[in-house]
Amino acid sequence: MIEIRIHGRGGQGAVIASKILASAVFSEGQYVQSFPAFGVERRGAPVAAFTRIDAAPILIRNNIYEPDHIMVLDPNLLATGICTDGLKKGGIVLINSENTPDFFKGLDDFRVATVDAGSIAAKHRLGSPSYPIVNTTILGAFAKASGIVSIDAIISCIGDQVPIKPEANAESAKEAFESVILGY
Amino acid sequence: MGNHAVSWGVLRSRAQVIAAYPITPQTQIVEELSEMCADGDLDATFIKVESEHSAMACCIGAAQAGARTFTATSAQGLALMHELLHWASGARLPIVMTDVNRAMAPGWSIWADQLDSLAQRDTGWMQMYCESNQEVFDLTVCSYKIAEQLDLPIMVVYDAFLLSHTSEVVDITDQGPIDDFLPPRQAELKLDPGKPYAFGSLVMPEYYYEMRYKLQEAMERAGGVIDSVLEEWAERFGRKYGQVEGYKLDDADIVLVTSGTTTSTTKYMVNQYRERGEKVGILKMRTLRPFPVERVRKELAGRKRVLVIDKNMSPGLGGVWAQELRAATAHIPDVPPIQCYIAGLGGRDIRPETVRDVIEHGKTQESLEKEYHWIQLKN
Amino acid sequence: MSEKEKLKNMDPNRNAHEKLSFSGISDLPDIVISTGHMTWNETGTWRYMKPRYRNLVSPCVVGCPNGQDVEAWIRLISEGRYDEALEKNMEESPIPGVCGRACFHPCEKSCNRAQFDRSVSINNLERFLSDHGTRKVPKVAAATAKSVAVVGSGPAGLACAYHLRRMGHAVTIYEAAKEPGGVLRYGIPDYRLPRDMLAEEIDVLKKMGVEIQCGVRVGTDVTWKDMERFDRVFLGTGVHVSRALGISGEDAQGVMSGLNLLKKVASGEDVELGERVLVIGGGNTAIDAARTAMRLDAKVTILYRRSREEMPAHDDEVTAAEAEGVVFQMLAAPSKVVTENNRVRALECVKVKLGQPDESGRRRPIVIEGSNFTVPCDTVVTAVGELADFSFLPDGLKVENGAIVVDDSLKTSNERYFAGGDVVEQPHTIVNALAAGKRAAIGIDCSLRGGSFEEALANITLATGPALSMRQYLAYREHKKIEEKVPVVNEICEYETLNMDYFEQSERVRKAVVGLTERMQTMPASAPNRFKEVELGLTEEQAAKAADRCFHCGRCIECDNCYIFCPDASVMPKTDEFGYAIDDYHCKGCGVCVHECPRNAMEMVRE
Repeated sequence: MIEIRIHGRGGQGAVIASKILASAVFSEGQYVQSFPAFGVERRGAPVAAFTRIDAAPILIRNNIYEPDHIMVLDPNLLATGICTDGLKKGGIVLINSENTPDFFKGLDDFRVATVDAGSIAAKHRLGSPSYPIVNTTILGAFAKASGIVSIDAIISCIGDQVPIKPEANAESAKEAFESVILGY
Repeated sequence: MGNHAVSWGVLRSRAQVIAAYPITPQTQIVEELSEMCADGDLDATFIKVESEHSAMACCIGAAQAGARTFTATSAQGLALMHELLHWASGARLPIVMTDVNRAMAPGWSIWADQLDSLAQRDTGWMQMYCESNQEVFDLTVCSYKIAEQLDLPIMVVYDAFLLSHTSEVVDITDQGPIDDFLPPRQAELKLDPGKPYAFGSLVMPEYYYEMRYKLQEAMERAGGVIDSVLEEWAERFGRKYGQVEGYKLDDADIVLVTSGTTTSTTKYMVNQYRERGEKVGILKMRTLRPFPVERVRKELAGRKRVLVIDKNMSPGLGGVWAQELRAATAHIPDVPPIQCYIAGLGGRDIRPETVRDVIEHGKTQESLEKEYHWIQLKN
Repeated sequence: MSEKEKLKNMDPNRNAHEKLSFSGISDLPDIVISTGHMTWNETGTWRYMKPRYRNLVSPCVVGCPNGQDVEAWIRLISEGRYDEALEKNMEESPIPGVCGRACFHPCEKSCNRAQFDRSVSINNLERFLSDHGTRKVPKVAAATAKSVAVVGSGPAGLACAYHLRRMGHAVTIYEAAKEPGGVLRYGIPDYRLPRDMLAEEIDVLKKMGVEIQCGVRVGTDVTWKDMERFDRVFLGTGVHVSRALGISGEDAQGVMSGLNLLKKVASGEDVELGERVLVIGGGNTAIDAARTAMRLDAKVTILYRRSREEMPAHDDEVTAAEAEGVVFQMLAAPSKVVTENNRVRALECVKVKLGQPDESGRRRPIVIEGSNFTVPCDTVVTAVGELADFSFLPDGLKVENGAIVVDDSLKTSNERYFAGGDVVEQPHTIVNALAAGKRAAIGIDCSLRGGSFEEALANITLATGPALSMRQYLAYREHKKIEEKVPVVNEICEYETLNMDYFEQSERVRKAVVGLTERMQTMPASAPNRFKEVELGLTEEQAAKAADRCFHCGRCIECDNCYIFCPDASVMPKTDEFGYAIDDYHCKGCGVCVHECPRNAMEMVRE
């Protein structure tokens, strides 16, 4: 079983990202589970969303405490330490950042990858220029960084599930797939 | 997510009147239903109301007029309905309601435990608990058939967030086959200006007693009806359910009794015990009312340990499921002491380790030393 | 001490940053209870955008060619502060009483409320403040040792003189007529614009020290050479020559221009019109002439070559004329004045139909051949437009297309001369003339001080312009920055940006008029008060109602919505000054305040 945790802020679309990821993986024949951190979500507050992936039906239903990989939509959250909490050694830390992986210190136990999802999303006019919505974009990068899911499945699920500007979201994910920087 | 599974179940069941008041974690159910109505996908009247009490009142009125009705609620909302829950059953109205289990306040909580629904035990409603979102969809549809055969209301119950907000794969059965399974409701006696009956009026002591007998008699028939409807569902769609279900139960010495999503995590742990060769199994409870007395007597007899995980607590006595099981199996020979473990209140995560601690503690309990045990309590 | 005991002794007002750490059941309290307040939880760190208060320019302000801060004085009226409202209005104009009666109020066309139900009654409110506010003589800046001559005392001249005087320049107005006011005095009938009211407004200029010389025609009574003693000269001489009809018999006795008729009546001269009067034209002068003739016991018909829709006269005026009994003959053009002994007997007309729109956007009239008909009459009044007279102008001023050529600052080809108002531009309206007077005053002041007009313009143009703010110019010329209560972004507040959830449709306040019966009784020439003002002002109650309909587009009025809706109590009213303070430590940037601001006086900005 693979457990993935997505960190963001209320309003950034972490929950939608976890659902699209789950759908994409499901379309490739795996069992999935996707859920938000069960809490009172407020815009701007740190939030998390989870995706579980397994070849067999998933029995376990509690929260994810020790994820295999994480995605970080707002790099400022890294400083709080909540993102890497419980993350397994060698897990992928995919960060939305204009910096390269070596910019981030203290992540030696993990495989760090970065993608400038903010700029890519802004270029494709997702969200507003001052606050781009990066959730679909970063999934493209995750496909490359993890190899868990194909970029085709991600793009196809974005097309099915994103109600507004699905093409731009898909293009943005594709661009992130191509431009993600792997520090491993 | 589970909430969407309900909406689709109600859509497929062709409910005609929906009345609801929003409350976390239920809100998405009726939100989606209101969209389905607005978009014309569901030909139903959606009534916005000012409280859960009014929501149930609307369902009662509509059901009395012969309509297929639906509402959904949680926790304090269900408590506010309490008076009318009695009315719905006493009036013998086949209303279907979803209750998303949420802990009662205060302290204010939006997370899961089962006390809200279990506290409605004596209102004359049938109750079925779900373990997965597939069950949520399937049992919502089955509930209409069960309720309408008995003229009794029924509650479909599942855990807040653990199902309500969790997305997983659900097979949504097509409309055609469901139409074959569930024909439109035919109410024999109903509100009708052409035949102006009055319903629910004064009953003198000379008949009230007998009226209650008839309600109880319907509940006694309910077990059989539930079995036959679930069997028909299994035949048609291949997904099999029962009032109780066993998991690696046949040869089990230690039987964990669970309900709702606790069952899944318990299965995960039971598999690990089985790998070590320990005979641990699960009895999963689906119906609280009617209570499957015979079934549990049969399944629990001859076991070494019966460990009930109660995600609820009735202040003054302990876990409700355990109490019900003790009552059902009292004086039945060969049923071991029923150990009660209170767990997961107010959204406290029931992790595989929690189940492990229950099993390990249970192994040491030969007799009933305590009415109930707290597990992983912070002292 | 256990945590439970600590809790009992704890001040509930403490900042609960050091959270109690309950080890378990032994030290947890029995009830759920707060352990202090939550200000430690600085939710401001969650924020990525921040709300801020900023005012925009209400559309009425730019809809007024003269840049009246309409919203500001409407707010003062609604607060019952009539004196201040009048003072606010007079920051931009010397004649609110005139405008409140005779302005064609384009501001109401741009009013956002017009897109919701009907526009706010701005024109009536302007009259209200002029009727109910106490006129204060505006402050005059220290003398500058510069002097300016203003030729003509119409709205352009009055405005130019007024503003220049406020800046401390010595100003002398030359007026050829006996009384000051120009077209206001001689071109608009008394029943629309009472003369004593006009005199009262002109009196303010006198009190400010503006010298007004009446009965002095520049170029005749005094020479242009005499004007050289002034540092600058403003020409606001207006248009006085009526356009000719260009038909035969036009010179006969009994043919007169509308302007002439109005002027004669306004001067108290006797006018013999006879019984049947035919007024030719569809503009305001035509209507004014017709209604004046009605008050001289004539039977009046207006002849207009297009249809009612195309009439340039204000709809209210046309309606009033109709009510008073003026007959309209539409789609007819004069072809010949029929005379007998060189005296008008009748007017031969021809019917026309409307063709494709011409460059003015109105449909072009096309003569229907052979449709001639004759209307008997005693007097023909022509009102088909006015032209400027340039014959008296000093030599060397460039004139093109019937207007004096000016630059952006209204400077003519001679840098000592400025010109504005009807003599320069269309449309011929009071408010456009007022705006020109203001612009010229600024142009003249810049040129006297050697300042850049362009730079001034950049600082005082309201939103997209061309309206200018004198309030801002007066601060600018003294290098002062206006301390606004709320920072202003110089953009128009559009209707779509308002939150309509907070406004209800309401009926527009209708102005009262003297009843028609009473009017007809007083209309005969013999009645002493036949030119009594027809329109009545608003009552205080009506004014309050009219002012309450204002959306206050783009302007914070302390409605408290932001304060009420903030979920984190991060918006608090300021105790000692206008507006609200936002608590940066706790505002999490949710934007509810901005979303719920009814009037778009807030926005989210990136930090």
